[in-house]
Amino acid sequence: MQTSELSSCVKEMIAQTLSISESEIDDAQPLSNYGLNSIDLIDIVVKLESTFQVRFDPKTMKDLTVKSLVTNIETAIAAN
Amino acid sequence: MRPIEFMMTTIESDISKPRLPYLDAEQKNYSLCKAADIFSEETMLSDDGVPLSVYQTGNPANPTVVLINPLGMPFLFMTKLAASLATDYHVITWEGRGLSHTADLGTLNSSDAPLEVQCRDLIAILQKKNLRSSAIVSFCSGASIAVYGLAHGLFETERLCLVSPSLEISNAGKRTDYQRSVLPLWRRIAKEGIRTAALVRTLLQQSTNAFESKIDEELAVINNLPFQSNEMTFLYAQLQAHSMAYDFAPFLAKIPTPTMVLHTESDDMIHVDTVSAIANALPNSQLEWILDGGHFAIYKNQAMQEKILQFLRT
Repeated sequence: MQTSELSSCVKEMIAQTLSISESEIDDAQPLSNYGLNSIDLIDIVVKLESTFQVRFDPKTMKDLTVKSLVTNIETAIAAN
Repeated sequence: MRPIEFMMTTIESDISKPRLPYLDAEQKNYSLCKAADIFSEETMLSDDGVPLSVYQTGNPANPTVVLINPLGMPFLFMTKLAASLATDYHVITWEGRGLSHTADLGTLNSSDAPLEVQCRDLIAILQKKNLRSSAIVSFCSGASIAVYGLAHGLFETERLCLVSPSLEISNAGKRTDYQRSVLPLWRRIAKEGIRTAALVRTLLQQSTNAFESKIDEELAVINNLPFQSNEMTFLYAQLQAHSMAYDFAPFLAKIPTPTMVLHTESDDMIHVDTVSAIANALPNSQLEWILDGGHFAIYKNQAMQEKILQFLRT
């Protein structure tokens, strides 16, 4: 899957969770800026791990943005 | 089931005000911690040599009320309830294995987590103090110790009060976001280990807590104690996972003890359906509601404290 497709997938998940439009989500903005609460964020990460059959490295999951999440997915897929 | 052994229990001679070693100097000045000064703390060794912090208040000549904390949590949530009970009762509680006695939290073994071990600690405390439980009051997941112990005949009591009980029960209806999303996480962390604990902690640190925006800072700090390190989070998850391995409905059906199940309508962690199902599964129960106060109403809700007192006096 291309980086742009991954980015779109992550944005869609976040947009659905927050009931906002994907166009409102900036790839480089910290996800915390969008008011995601702990359950929402954990839900999203668990869904991404399940969707892409990967396990994220906790050390690289700090200060998450859409962009960093996509990088994490790509790294985890490559590691598989 | 492993047999319960009544081997030992040695009391060290250190009776003091609660030490709260898991809090820093500033946190120890919280009103919540000051309220704990009504307790004396005593160190006892469990039958397998694990130090337990035991807290008592009230006149030991009065009937004994046992308070059971949520699994892996400090006793501090119960201090104001204990104060309201101490006039008429001798109140005793303890902290689960490790919390008060490890400088580096989270050094417990997984063998400390099973419910039977927690029950055995209570038995040892009551035996050594030569006490008989007149009533047990549990909060949240502390209900799992009370219900497991009573259903298996490990200990007895004359009255049981389950406050906002967090118990797995089959076909209990709707669940809150917390029950739906967070509780399964404990199972996952317990199964997968420290790495998953680290991932969850990392995520928690960069998002607003879904529940703590509604509680004050003191409660939030106390509520977060099990998540101070990856190891402690893993331990907490193991405690929860052991409890969640059971369907408690058959256990509840075996408890003839007069029981009050008490809940707040504004509790966004434990669904009213869960609490209703628990009350329905008990053969001799009454279900009582408090309007306000949320999940942590036990900390300072006067109406809740009065309901508990009223039930115990019945």
